Amino acid sequence: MKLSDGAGAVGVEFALDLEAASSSVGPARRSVDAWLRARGHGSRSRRSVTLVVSELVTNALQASPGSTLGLRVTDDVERGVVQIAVSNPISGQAGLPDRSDWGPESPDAPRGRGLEIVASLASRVKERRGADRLWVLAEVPMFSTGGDS
Amino acid sequence: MAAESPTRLEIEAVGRRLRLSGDVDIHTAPRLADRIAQLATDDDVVVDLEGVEFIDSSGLRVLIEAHQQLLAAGSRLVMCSPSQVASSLFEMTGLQAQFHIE
Repeated sequence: MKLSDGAGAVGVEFALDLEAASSSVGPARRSVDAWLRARGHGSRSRRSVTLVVSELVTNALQASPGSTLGLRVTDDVERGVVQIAVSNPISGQAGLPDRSDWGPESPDAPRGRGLEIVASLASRVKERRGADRLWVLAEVPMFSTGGDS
Repeated sequence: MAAESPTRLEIEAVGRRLRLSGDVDIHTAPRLADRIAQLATDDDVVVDLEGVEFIDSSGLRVLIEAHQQLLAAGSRLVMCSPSQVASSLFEMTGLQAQFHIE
């Protein structure tokens, strides 16, 4: 399937709608991992993508509990990146904070680690507001699969 | 989606040692926090991370909070045998230097 999704990415896409509940995060991760494995991506790349998926889905479900979240993963082979797009209904939240505010307030703070992790793994992170949904998009570079299953 | 099983995390407790097996995320992290909180803070708590197959910021938050609570009580949260995924996340977030890791 080659298409352009609602978030603007072009490539081979995995799409999933899920309930905004903590019980959805693990199955979403496993589904994306299985899809990437079937496409030949190694474990190192899959670990990066599933970690970003987990963080973005967690953020979205906390912003819109009980709603339906959108998850789109696009394998852009030409550019060597996987794009993860997660959406939730716009419900007055401000969206992503300024990039300078990503990360914990102090080195030992327990909160604020999710976007720090996403920023560490993704080469690009942005948000896109639709008519009624907020999309957060992250592009994760893929590693060579040499010896990495 | 609803038919799929949620995240699996097994927590085996032997004395003050908790051995984790599976994934630590927003679904399972509260259970880990509860298990750690059941242990008194007057002595070290050991968390064996060898069987952790996935951990994200929700899991980190539990470990950081437990680490700080035990430190405040004069004890330590000792993380032993972290799996590759746990080690790489500690390194990514700069927590490797703060945690007691064996």
